[in-house]
Amino acid sequence: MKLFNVANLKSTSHKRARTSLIQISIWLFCGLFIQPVSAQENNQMSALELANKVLTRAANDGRAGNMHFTLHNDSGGVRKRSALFVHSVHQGDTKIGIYFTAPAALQNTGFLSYDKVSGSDENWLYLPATDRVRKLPASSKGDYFMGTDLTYGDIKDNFKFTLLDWDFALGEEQIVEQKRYLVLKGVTKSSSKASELGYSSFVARVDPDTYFPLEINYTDVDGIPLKTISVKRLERVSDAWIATHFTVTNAQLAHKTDVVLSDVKHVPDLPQSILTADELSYGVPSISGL
Amino acid sequence: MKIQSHVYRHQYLKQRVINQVGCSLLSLLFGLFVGLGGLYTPLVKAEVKVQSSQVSLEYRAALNLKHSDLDLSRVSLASRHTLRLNRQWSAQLDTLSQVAFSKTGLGSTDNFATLNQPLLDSTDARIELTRAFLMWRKRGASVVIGKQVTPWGVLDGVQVTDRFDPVRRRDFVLTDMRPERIARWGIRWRSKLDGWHVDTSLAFDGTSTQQANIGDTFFLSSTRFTGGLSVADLGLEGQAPTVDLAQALRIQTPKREHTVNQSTAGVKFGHSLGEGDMSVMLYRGPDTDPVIQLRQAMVASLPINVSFDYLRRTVLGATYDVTLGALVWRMELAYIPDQPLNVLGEQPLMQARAKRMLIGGGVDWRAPANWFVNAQLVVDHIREEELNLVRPATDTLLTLRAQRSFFNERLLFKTELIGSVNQGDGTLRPALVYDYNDNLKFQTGIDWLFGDPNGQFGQFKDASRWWVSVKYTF
Repeated sequence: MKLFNVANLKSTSHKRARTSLIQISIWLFCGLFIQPVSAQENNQMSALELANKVLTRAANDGRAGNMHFTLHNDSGGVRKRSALFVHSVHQGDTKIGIYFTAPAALQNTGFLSYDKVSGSDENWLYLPATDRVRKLPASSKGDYFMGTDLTYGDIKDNFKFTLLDWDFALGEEQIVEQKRYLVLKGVTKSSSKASELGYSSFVARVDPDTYFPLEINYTDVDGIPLKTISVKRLERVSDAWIATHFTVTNAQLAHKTDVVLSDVKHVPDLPQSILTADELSYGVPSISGL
Repeated sequence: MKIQSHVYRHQYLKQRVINQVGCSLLSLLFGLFVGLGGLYTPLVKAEVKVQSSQVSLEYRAALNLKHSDLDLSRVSLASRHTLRLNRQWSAQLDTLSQVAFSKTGLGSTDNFATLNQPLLDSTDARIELTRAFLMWRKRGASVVIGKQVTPWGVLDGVQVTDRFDPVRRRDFVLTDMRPERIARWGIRWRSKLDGWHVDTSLAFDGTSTQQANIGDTFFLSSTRFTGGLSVADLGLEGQAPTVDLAQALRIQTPKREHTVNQSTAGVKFGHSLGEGDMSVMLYRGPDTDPVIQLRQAMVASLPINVSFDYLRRTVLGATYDVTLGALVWRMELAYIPDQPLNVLGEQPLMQARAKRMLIGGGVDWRAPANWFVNAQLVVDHIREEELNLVRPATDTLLTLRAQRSFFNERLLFKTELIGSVNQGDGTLRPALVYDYNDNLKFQTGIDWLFGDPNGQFGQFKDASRWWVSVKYTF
């Protein structure tokens, strides 16, 4: 499986790609001499440092785009969902708005989550049939999002691992298609944390150039393999790397979700008023360029 | 307490003038709004585009569990189109076309204002414009003019403060979405002022709540809804009420044409309070439920002539909802100082006004194993003083809902209990919803009603049913 499609990276990543190619050439030229040096460098980075690098990876404080989910079940059935998403981080508080545009039955359904640094997280849902925005209990991170194989935690964490949730360890480096990857392992700090997240452990293959995990394998709360998230395409939007195509495969349910993001934009001056409960009832917001 | 034996009066000339002037002014305003919108749009840029478009076709049938008769057989074609005219202007147009068979009924439209009458109406078929409005928006402020709803309140499917809009009761409370609101022509303005959310609404359309027609399955027959008139009063004791009811009872509804007198106007202010959100509201307009008036003295062996009056009343309300961990708490309070109602007196169908207080609380709980639970309790009290009410002075209503989805939300199981705690009647509604694909949905369920045959729910105990639905949306 091709995990990292270098050709798909935007122009800003070409320099990095060229650097990687030069590194590969040097490895090929120098053979075994280079390998011990590289391993020595990696050993200098602890698991916590790597987790921190992943966690503090640059992210846009405001971004918006279109998201397309394709849901495959074990009997070959396919369902599709499309939505506009708006993501904002303001003074540590994270707001995510999702406005469905397809299928027709879900059109104009809006969902807003508000994760606060202090106080209870809040969720709102607008269903056109009820004409009303309804406050919902905050979802547990382990709850599944709108029939997909992604949990609310997957969406909120955005390919990062919260230091308070996990104990980390380094795994043996992996080389895939002549590219070296770091391996980060995590075990939840407690069984209650595992119940909250829906996972007890993970193994992530991390790209050392972007500190983006390109493949994550999770086990469920009982330690049984649960699902694999595979990034198919990374794009750089402003200063941040965004997975614009990835798949989530649930091994236990034989169910797969294919996620494609399009027209992703960094919107630094996103008006805070867009991501409010009242705004959900007005339907899909108008954002320039989308 | 003043008892009125004849509440509906002829309108004085002065009132007629006020109504006509009011109607003309509103029509002029609507015309100006539409005209300006029309002129403004091409000036800015021709950016008109269909923002969303949805059409659904549904067939729903229900089999009576007692008699095995087909109690419901209805085809519904619903459409919703939203247009973005430019950055500030948008429009929405919704229609509902229905064909009904058997005893299903399409509901009464006698109490609909002329402006709100169906575009096409016959015994078994009806086409309605369910929404039609223009909206202007800028920086958190919006003005909506046209046929719309004003959904206030925070509780789920029970009406404490949520009494601005008339609703459909042709299927009693046995609908997918509750309440099913009826849109009215009017103007609504929403804005944010210094942290306050201000919501003002004026519906200049006297349409009131839709009831089932006489003879239809869910025609109200409990004495609490008939102003105290019983089956014995109608001379139908021992007979199936629906058979000869239409001959024994003649209902006239005064025309709903008085734009000002039958309008509903209100304002709501909302603000955050602690971790939650609060609102206070005040509105005045026709009650959504009728009081019944005897039009002619009752004579043995002749039909009873009554009229359904929708008298104006004032509602003061307050709401609060807050998220606390896995729970959302909701509270509502409504005070109606001049609730119109029927009372038992020297003559049948006497009318009065009384103070009414409703208080409701509810909780949503995201329970373990992906269950979602919603529980609500509403206490509805009428200060009786010397009045002899046709309903209990205090009603306590309980709703309890639990649902869980399976197979990546392809299958949904939900069950709901709605019941009157003080009268011991209610309905239990388990249902399954299966999304075959993005377009096709199958639903089935049971609406089991129980209790005293003269109770709020028990009156329909013989109408318990098993229902199925197939819906295609594109």
